Amino acid sequence: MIFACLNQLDKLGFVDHARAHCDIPCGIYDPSTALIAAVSVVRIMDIMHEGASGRSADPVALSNFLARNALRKEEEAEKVKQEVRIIWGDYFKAPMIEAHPEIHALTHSIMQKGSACKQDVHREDALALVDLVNQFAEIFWKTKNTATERKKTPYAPNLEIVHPVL
Amino acid sequence: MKPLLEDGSFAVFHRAKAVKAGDVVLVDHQKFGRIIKSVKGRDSNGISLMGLHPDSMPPEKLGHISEKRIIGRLVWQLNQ
Repeated sequence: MIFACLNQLDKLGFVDHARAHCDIPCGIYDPSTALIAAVSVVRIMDIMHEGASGRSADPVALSNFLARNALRKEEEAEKVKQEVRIIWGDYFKAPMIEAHPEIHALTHSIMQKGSACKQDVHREDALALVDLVNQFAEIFWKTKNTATERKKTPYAPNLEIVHPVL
Repeated sequence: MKPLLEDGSFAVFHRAKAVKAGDVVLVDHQKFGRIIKSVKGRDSNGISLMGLHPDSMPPEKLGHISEKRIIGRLVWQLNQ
């Protein structure tokens, strides 16, 4: 009853607002976004390699096809880097880093490999990126005392990625 | 500020500048605007704030605020 009355007053503009969230920033960290982006990089490289041969007779169509996919590859590789940077920079605290000192070198490797994937279309670089982000995800879930498992994606390129066992 | 305050809660504040550790305060934060936090303590740099939830932004990121930025101290709240 009181809440309903206050709600009406709020709707009429008589109540000032303040933010009381525990989450500035939101406190929601999950490496799954980075993993899906890393898998997407592999997939886009596959599409580029597979699709280019069929368009070689039409240079305009080929250019358009490659430009579109190169742009998407760039975005997905950057997303990997951004998501990993946020988790590493904002989520990992001193006790976690002490428990997993390899996180710095691993994060740096992801940055380097992500850039390599942006610069070129070597599938082995993209596969290595997925592997590195998998390692990153396993460490992340260890900090939450959550077991993990690797399962193949139910879509191409059907690569194993880390999932929390919840 | 869970579990004390949920999204959409109503809260009443007493306009008071004198606060002590543990008080829940409404502040005009220099970086985050009008926010509600708990007072962690007070030192030569000013008043430090903290959230009540484990995932809350750590006090070192919230920084210190001066007393003049305190709008009031929580005296009553109503959760849905």
